[in-house]
Amino acid sequence: MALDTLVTQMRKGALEYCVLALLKDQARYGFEIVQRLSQIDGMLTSEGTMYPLLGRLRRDGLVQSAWQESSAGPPRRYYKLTTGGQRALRGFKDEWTTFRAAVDMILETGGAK
Amino acid sequence: MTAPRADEIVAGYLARLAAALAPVPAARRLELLDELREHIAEARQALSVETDADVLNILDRLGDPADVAAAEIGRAEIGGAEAPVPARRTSRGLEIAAIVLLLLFWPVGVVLLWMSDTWTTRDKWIGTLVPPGGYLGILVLGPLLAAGTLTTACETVTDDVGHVISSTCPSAGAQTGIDVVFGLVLIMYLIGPILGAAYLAIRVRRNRIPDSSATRDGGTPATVAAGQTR
Repeated sequence: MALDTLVTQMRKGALEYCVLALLKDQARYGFEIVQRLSQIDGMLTSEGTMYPLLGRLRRDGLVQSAWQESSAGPPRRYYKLTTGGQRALRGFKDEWTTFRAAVDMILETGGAK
Repeated sequence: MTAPRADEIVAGYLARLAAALAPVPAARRLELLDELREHIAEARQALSVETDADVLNILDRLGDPADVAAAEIGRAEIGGAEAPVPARRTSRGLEIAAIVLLLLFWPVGVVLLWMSDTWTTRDKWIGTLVPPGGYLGILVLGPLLAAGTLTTACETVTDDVGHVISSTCPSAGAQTGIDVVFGLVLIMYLIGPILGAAYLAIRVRRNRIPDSSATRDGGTPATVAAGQTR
């Protein structure tokens, strides 16, 4: 049970950076972001909650949204990274890499140097 | 191709979402509803042949409207990335008043004692029962005790030559015992309220630091718990 909770919390914490990472090189619209994350097992359990998350990232100034014409159907709301978002993503990536390496090392060697 | 009841099912979902989003400011609520409507439209467009079951599946994947709303509202209450650290009261007026009144006017003091969130329940019981009544208790119980012990009316019947026939007065030994008990009760009543008040005052100071750190510790998971997915 405690492990379940931990995994849920870790996923929640990492999810917003995964969204930022998806937007690193190109703007995407909501449905597309959801589709991509849903394909990765377990990253997104309740797809509808992505929209409140995108709203918060925008309020925090990490992403911005703009309407773009779509070839098929009505215009879509595209999200893209701001410079603040790029900085946040780089920061997370550094921290994550260090953290993951440290935990991996300890898990594999039991802390022996 | 549209499934027979698809539009109805989608409209029902969006209506439940709109209701769940009632606490959200109107502009943001409409925007979120728009986004979910677009999402559903996109998902339906991707289907070559649509059945009611497909539409239900799309909505199922979106999740319970209450959960979507909770993801939005949880965030709005938190007001951004920072967890709300409840403002610690720096003034201790209630606690000081409670301690002083426990000494001087116990009934009000007890009420204030239990209103405060500073003390643990154990502290509150100690504050209430050591000793019962504070100095007001002395005023009420003191005379009763005195009447019951020191000034017990006694009657001694003697015969003509002065021999005691019968007496309701306690013997000298019993009287000494009663005096000692009364003295102890009196001392307890004089010192007890001071000790009780001192104990509560110490607990106020002691609870201060652990309390605020407990609040911070409690705040951090809340930030995470306010995340968007279950």
